[in-house]
Amino acid sequence: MTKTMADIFKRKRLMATWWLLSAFICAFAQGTDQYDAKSSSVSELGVREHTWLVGGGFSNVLDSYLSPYIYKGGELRLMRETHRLTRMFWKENGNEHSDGNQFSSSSKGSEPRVTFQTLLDLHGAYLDSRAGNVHGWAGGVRYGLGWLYRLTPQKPVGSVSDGWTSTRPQRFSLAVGPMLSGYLGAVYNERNGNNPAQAKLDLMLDLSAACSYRFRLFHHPFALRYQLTIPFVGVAFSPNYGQSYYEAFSLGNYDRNAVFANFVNMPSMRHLLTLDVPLSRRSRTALRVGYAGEFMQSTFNKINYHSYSHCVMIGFTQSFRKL
Amino acid sequence: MKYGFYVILMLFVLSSCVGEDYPNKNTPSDNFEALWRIMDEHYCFFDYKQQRLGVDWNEVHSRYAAKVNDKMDNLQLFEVLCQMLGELKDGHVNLGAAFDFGRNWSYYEDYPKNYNAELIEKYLGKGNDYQIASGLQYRILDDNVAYVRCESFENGIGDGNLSMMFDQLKSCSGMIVDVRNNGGGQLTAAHRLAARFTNEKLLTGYVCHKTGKGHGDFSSLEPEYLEPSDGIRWQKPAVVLTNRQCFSATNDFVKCMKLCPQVTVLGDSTGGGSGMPFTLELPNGWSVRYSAVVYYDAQKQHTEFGIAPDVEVSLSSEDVLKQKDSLIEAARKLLR
Repeated sequence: MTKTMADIFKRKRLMATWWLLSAFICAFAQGTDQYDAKSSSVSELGVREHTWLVGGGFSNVLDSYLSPYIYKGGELRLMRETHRLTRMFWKENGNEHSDGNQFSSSSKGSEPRVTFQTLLDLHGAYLDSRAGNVHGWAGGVRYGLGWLYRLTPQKPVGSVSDGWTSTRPQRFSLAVGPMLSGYLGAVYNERNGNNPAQAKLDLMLDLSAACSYRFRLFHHPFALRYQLTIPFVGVAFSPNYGQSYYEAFSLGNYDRNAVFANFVNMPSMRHLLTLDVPLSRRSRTALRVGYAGEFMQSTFNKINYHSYSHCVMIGFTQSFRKL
Repeated sequence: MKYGFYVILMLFVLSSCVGEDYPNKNTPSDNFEALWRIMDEHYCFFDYKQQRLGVDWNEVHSRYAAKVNDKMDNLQLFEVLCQMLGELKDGHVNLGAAFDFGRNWSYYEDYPKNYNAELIEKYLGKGNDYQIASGLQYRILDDNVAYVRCESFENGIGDGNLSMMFDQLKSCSGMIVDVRNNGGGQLTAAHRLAARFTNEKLLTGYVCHKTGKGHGDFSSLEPEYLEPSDGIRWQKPAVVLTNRQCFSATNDFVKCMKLCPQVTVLGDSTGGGSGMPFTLELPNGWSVRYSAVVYYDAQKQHTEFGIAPDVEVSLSSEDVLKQKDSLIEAARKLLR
């Protein structure tokens, strides 16, 4: 069989493509290594990590003040998180490592362990009744301030930033701590007359637990992170069982509208599972993909409420050094 | 076990599920049970209806459950459910489907209308004989009496519109406020108009709501006041014309107006409807409207079945033949 000129050009094009792809992969892999090397050499206390995530998924909402039945629909979610290592519970012993990192010692108390976290979480859902003849809306915004205390000692065994408790290499980390969070939202039913909407407002002390695990796959570093947050105690707004908003807000007849909320009458939890893949050589940016699951429930004044949300999230996380 | 607390907390939360607790299959029997329970746990007049009408809601269940089976079609089910709701004789209790709106309007259907739209048009005139402000139609009659026709409170009434209207009518010797056939609407609109007829804060009644699923689970009675308007207020005699179709927010308007000095309520009893309605739904998507919040008068009495007028006047057929409205003519005599 004789080779035609077209075959030769085709083969050359394939070879060129292959080399370009290989060069890109090598550059990418090299970039991640350099990124790690840089991150391990900076003071952790000056580093802030910012994350933006957007996502979509499904929502399942029940509010017996508006309907005894579940409404379901699509949901959009936007999250912004920041993490910053703090000096809280840290006994500085003055051991400064020769590489410039003063937190190299793994002994308890000699390294910063508390990460300060902020969370901004916006979501909105368009819902349908089970019969499909009524629509509704649900949405809100949550803002939280959290403090995560790392339980596991640092062991410099990995090579990639875990991106939340520390920029230091560490294969597995586990942290727990409180979070103060506030939520403002509403559920709206397009059909109802005098009970068309339900306001959602709470201020809670949450308990949070987070773990991260770093690993390499095909010479690429990844960081897997999971955070579980459970509202523990706080205060929430709810109308009374058959109370109208007209009574509460036009006539001023408040009736047990500020409710003591706790994990018994508000058994809820929020999950965030993410995977980080560092992107480039110097940008200190990682692609983050994940799952955000929110299971909010309450029974206040005999009004049953739940909002189950499942969203696939994607976004970026970036590390900044405070000057 | 230093993580034991978190594990126990998580297991507790995982095992706690807040979900639907009403029958949720789209079958005639589940729709029937759901409707009966929604009313049983939310309707606010059971004790009063038992006292006035002898309605025993448990007995109603056993009587109507026998009429429901899963082979019924939607029309048959709708008819049975509407009959069941009709036992309460409440105009605020409705069943809404795409093909029909279930109701019991006996509060006016069983009574004389005392209303003739053509006659009212004669009094208002044509074209620009009368003016319209925020839905209120008004003109000055030959004997210098202001006639204000208010046929609905569905749309809000603006304070600015009211001030302009009262300014236009300030030279009149008296005012007729005709709310016949006004089926209600926004309470705030009704109170905004009533606030033009008092110079003092008035205790107009009490309000309470359900606090639980029991028929007698209610909050304490909270007083409700009518604050005088900051705008132009009517200082001369006024007559409010009523009939059986004055319902819901209009019933509340009449309740307030009856307390205002220099105001006389004339005509027939109002239709009532003193419960603020809420809406829920059945598994098949039909809407259920029911009275949820109770409004009492200043003597802590129900006005669910209407408010009697100060002066009872009916629309006579003789007057109709003469193209006269008996109620408007009686009001004009009172105001002269």
